Amino acid sequence: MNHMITVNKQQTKDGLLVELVGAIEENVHLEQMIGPVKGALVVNCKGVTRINSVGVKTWMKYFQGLKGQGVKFKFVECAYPIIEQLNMISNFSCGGDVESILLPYSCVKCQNEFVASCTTAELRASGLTVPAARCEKPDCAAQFDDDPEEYFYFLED
Amino acid sequence: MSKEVLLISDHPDDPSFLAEVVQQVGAELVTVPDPQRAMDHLESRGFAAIFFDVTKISKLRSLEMEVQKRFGLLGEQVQASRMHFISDKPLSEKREVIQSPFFGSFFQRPNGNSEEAGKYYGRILSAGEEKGSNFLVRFLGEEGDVQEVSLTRSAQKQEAAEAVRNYLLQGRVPARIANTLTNVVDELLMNAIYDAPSDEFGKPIYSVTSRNEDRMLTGRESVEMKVGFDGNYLGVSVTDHFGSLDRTRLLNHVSINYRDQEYKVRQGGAGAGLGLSSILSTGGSLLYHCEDHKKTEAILITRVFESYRDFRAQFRLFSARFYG
Repeated sequence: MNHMITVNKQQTKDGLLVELVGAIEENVHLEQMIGPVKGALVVNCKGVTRINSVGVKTWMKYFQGLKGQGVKFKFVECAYPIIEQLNMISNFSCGGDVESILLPYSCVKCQNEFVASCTTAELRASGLTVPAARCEKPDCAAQFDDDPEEYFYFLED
Repeated sequence: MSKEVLLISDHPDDPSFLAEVVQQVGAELVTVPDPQRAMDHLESRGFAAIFFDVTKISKLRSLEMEVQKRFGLLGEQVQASRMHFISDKPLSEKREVIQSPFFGSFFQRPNGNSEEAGKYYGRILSAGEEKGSNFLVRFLGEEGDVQEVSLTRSAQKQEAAEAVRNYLLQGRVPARIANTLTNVVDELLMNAIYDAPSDEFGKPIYSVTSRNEDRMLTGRESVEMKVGFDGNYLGVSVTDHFGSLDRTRLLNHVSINYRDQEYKVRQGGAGAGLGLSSILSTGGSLLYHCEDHKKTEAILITRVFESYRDFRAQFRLFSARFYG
């Protein structure tokens, strides 16, 4: 059942690295799944496939709680479901830093979909310009598969 | 259906869009530039549909005043179910129109291919001419191969949403579009399972119930989902048997904009319209047909593109029709 979420955890000397894979919905209990956080928390969101409205509530409750406890947290490799929420809900990051995001591309020749990772610092430095990207195919004609203005809305000052 | 459609607009792009709409529904188009000149037409006959440019809110208020003066707000001449608001901005940036008693359908003026948008709108209008639950079949035709599933337990929601996802992926729909549409189906089912059931006084029964609590969906609490895909358009409808949808609440939820205000997490299961507000921002049209105390059918119609960018930019409408 591919809609069940998986939480992969790795404790490092600086803190806890957590990777979320799957859909964030009503059966997801982040507090239980992530457990106690020692040090800072880094949340890798590249495997998030979708997040429904109950998932959004769960997410915000959890991260607002962490913020209240004074835990530092950041999000890396945020996939489009997270980007969509960041763009739609002004306080979705709950004070966490969005360090890097995934940029969606699709090839106009072969319709191949792929993503490229980019830090938000690089994007801001470039004036929110979409970086060029290619897949492995030699004749790749990849284009950014979204509206840059919408996709980078949350990064605008 | 009456054979005339009234357009109240002086925007240069609207007549060509409406020309396609009326061709689809087999009607004649009557165009006037302002509400004052519309009154004489409205006084003399009924129209199958009225399209009104709400770019300037003062014109909408003027229409409301004129109608009230001549016919009374409950007059037959102008009914919300036959009114289509044309706007220059999305609903989230035009929230003042939801206060109008004439709010029925709303769309942002097509940016680009108005011929195709007009044909699409005409198809939707034709399919919605008759009340009843066959909207999807009428819209998609035989090619749509509309299939129906009844949910017997609330825990089947995720399975049903994932079944739609798999159906789309098998149809070679790009994964991101499939995931987005799965989320929409998830939200529609959640509303039907948890928000629609209400007691004899109209009080919601499960508003504070956890959304992962499993329960039987029997009798009035049963929920039906229909899915069809004609190769271009995907249609999904979800029907509950309460007809408890509150018009004001619905319009508030679909037009809310959490970009400008913070989302405050509340206790209980409901998400303060997060699901509904997200549906309209993702791509596709959302139509509600609510028969008071009988049933509510929520319908998603979306064109499936090869790229998400095109999917997101597609022409769409929102419609809320309430019947007594």
